[in-house]
Amino acid sequence: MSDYSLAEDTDLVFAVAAGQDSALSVLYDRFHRQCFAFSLRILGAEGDAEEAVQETFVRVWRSASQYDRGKAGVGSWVLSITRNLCLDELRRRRRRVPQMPTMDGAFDLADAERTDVTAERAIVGAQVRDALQSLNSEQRSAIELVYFHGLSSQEVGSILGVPAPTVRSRLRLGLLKLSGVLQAQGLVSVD
Amino acid sequence: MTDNIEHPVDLLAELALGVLPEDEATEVQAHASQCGSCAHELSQMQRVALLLPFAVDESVPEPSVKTGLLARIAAEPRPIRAREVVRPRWQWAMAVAAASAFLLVGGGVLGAMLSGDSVSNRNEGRQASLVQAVAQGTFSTSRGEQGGATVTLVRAPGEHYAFAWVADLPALPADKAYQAWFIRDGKPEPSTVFRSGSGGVWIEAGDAIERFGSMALTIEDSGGSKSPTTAPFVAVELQKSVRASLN
Repeated sequence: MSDYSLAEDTDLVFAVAAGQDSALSVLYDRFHRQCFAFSLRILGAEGDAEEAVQETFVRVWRSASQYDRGKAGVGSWVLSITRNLCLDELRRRRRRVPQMPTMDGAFDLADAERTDVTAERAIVGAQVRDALQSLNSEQRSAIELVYFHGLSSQEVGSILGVPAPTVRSRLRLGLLKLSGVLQAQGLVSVD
Repeated sequence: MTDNIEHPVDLLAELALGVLPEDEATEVQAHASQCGSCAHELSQMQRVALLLPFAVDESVPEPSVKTGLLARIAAEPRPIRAREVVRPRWQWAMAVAAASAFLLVGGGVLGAMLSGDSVSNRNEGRQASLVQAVAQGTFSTSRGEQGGATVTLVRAPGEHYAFAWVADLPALPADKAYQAWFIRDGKPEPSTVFRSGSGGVWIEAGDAIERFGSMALTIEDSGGSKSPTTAPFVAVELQKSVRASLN
């Protein structure tokens, strides 16, 4: 069996697409914590989140040949699959009232073969959390409800008691402010 | 752009966050494709959206999630199927001859790995080597297929190259070409660039082919790439290849 532990993320996806299942195992090791936390954040129940994690990596395995690194990094691609799965699940069971997520807390640096990659993700995570904290609470709530719970502006407006255009305005101003903050940190490229 | 145009700026955020209904999303995307300022703003928002998942604290699922995952993919049909192909010896001899004719007449290989010696001289040597392996029964074959396209490798043991018979690959735009890659320890190494969607091509690795895990094809710019810019659409697993039966 090939040793993929030091391979770059994109090379792992390439290897999975080429039929190397052991590369999927390494991809899982790299992204399962982020994937689980993200699923848990959206779905709110560990069992559901674990199902989402497993389904995410099955879909990574099935669709690795469709990955386009020009569009997104591997981590973002994996997590976009997770998000779509979780939002589908949320739509199926709207009966559950979403809890307001929190952005606080420290990273738990678990064991990883590529500690440089893990450390880089931890730094990115901290920077994104800090950037979110720079928003006012109205903008942050709007982004959290839309992004992490898949709600429309209309639905968020109903929850927050404001018209949908107000929610859209908060989303727009919030995202543009985030973009500026993340650009200053070098996380988002400037055109 | 004029001031009379109504820009859907308030919908860009929902589009970037993936919650805009499909019909509205299509309209907004169509506008953004024609409007520099909206495209710029949408791009900014999409880049932010890609980073939002990283704001969540990491936590660890039960180990059974991974064991369950590996069990599931082991039980599912492979998305890319690679299997041994056993064909009568005469068919491969004909295919090798056809490939030489194809290369000499059609010039289908763009020649990234074939530069230096003349194509015809090198191919004659390869053809002779492969024909000898076919005659002696020491050749082996592997095949990968997906979406109707197939790539079959025929190779003599210990050689750096193989003869690939490609079938039903779609035609490419003029500025694109197929490129072969040999993958070792997850690292793709560039190989032959070619344009023909069907026929024979010589695919060369820098080392004995058996030392690679698999060979894959991607679509690249016409001059080829040093590393893949797209994911492979078909792959051939090499390590499971065995000496083919001649019966």
